[in-house]
Amino acid sequence: MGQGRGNQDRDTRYADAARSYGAAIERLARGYEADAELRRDLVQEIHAALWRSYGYFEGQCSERSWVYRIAHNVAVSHLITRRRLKRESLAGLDEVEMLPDDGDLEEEAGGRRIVERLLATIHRLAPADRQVMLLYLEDLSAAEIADMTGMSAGAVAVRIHRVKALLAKPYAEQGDLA
Amino acid sequence: MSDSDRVRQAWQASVADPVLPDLATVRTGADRFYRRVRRRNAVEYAACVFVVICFSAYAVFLPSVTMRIGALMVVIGTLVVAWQLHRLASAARPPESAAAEPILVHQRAELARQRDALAGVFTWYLLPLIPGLLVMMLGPGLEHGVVGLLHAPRSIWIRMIFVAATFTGVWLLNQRGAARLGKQIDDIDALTGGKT
Repeated sequence: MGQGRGNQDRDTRYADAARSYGAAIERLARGYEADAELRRDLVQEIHAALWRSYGYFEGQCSERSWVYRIAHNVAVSHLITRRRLKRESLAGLDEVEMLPDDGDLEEEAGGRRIVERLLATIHRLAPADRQVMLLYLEDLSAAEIADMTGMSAGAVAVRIHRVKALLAKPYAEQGDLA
Repeated sequence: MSDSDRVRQAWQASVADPVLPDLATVRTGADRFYRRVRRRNAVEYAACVFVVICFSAYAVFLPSVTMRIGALMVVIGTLVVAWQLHRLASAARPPESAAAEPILVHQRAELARQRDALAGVFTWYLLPLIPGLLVMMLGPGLEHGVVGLLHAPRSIWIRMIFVAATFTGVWLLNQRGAARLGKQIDDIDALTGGKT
């Protein structure tokens, strides 16, 4: 009886979180996995971990932090396993460039072109830099990113500075061309 | 609006209406981690059972007493390896257990677990099998004392060199993997100021 009510409560809390953060989870999965089928598995794995976690979530931190940590931790484990299999080489924020593009960034409906370029860049980033980039794109502050990743405030500040420069570059290049 | 704000806006608008998995799928998926661990354990234990059966047969049917003792030692060594596999598999944590941990702490723990398993491969995987294999290979020569060993046929020494080369290769590959993971751990420590 108690167990049944507990499961029902867990289902409700999970469903609320999935509705609120489902889009962010999907975006995060896109940042960690380029392959569509594997990404679907990753999203399901994150949702499964989230559902289980509501068995013991008692407001230890904000719900957003909780959801993002679970999602990133599952995705990081996925990435570590994939890297062991694929041996792909990844780079830091100071080494990657946004891929070149000759289209008009503003004209593209819904900014799809810039998101595609962004994803191609994210997929080449080393895990720690990828975490900062993805959390920054979700509007988290530097302090929240430091708290969520465990990175020192200085390391986060340096990375956010690089992320901003990286994101502004395509627009600067377009300005030069115009 | 700054350029990076425009990119952030485009990013957040890129998935506005996600397809959420239904609750039944989520619940089934919640057991996937445990099912995967069970399946992997089953394969590894099956391999151990196969080795135990083969070498138990050697321990009964081989003509030389020393070789039979060697086969029995391999069986014991395999049981030690199986126990170590069980111990390492239990150290794998379910994905949701790290919910309260910062992401890099979780990442470091995952890498450290894998690095330790690779770095210690000689102790937990190779060493338990070495005494039995040595006794089996040198058995016939040992039965005639040190002189017998010195005059053992060349084929025995070739076999020994082959086994030693294989074990060394396995050890070296694992050490290289451990060093690579160690480098990634060092990178994380540099980022967190060693707080992990």
